[in-house]
Amino acid sequence: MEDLTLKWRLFISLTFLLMSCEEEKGPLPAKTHEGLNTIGYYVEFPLNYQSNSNNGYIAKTWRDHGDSCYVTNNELIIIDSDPNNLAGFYGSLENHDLKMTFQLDPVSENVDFSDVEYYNPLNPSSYYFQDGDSSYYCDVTYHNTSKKIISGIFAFTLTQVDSVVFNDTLHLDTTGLSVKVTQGRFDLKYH
Amino acid sequence: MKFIYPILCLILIALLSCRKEKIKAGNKRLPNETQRGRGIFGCYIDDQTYIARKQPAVVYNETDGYLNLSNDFQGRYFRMFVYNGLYTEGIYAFDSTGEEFIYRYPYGVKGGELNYLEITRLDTDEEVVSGKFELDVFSNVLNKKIKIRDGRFDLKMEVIH
Repeated sequence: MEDLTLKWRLFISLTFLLMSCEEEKGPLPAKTHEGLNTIGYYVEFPLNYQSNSNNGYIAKTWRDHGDSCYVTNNELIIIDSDPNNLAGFYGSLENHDLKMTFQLDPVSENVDFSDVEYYNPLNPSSYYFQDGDSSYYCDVTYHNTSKKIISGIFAFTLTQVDSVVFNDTLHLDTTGLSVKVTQGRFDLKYH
Repeated sequence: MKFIYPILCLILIALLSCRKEKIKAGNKRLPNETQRGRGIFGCYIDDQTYIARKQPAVVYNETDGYLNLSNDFQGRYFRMFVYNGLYTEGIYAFDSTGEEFIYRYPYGVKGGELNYLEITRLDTDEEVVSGKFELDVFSNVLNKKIKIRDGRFDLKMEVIH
């Protein structure tokens, strides 16, 4: 009996030791103004999406995707479509794209944030948007039109849209589920 | 009792596998304050001495007067910016990004608290920037303050024209 107690104590000590070996992850990209083609943010999912974790969020970073920042029809569009290393870990949510749209004034060359979406291009029914009741900010901290550099910070609460066809009419409603995009930052060159 | 030695071995392996902190005590000497671009960045972080081994970014934009001083060593990251208006030697303050220093959690400068940057050499021809700094940084998550003292740097920089 005494041996058993000792073994349990050692086992518990070993478990704590192994748990204390915290894996260090690099932080999100810095908030630079140099056109480094970096974007990073955390995505926080509701706990009911997470069967294997209780830490409330997953980190997502993305780099070197300059092709996904461009101007068209006086709109500046940023799309983060890299699932990074999250494949298979959180079901289909890891394959969502983050798309931000800015209005670009051709005269003053000012840019104003106008829209954000979080969606899976392969699954149109999984679509999150920024509804009027949700908190958000998106601040362009640097914009250089000659060098075509745009930098900024952002945070959004995005709500899932549920679409159903009823009596041949498309009905859109929110499901009540939401994700939070936090600590966002980008420093991109556009074309 | 026959399991005690295998279990002790496992504990030993677990202890060895944990990554150890090797930051030296604060009485370790900092590099001299020089102005010739010899690639140093050092300071005291509370009671520890920090001397950067990696300098991923020292960037100066002479059009905007933008300076980025970024480096890291053993899980500690400095990311300090003056976003605009730095054109000559003189005394400045870092712009607040909320993550001037990162060690597991981000720490940022606060208005009204110590935030001192002195540029002692800014040479865009030789691409050298040197200076001194001292600041207090705060973590909102931990409700904790860290004191950065006796900071000095003497670095080659990338100049954006």
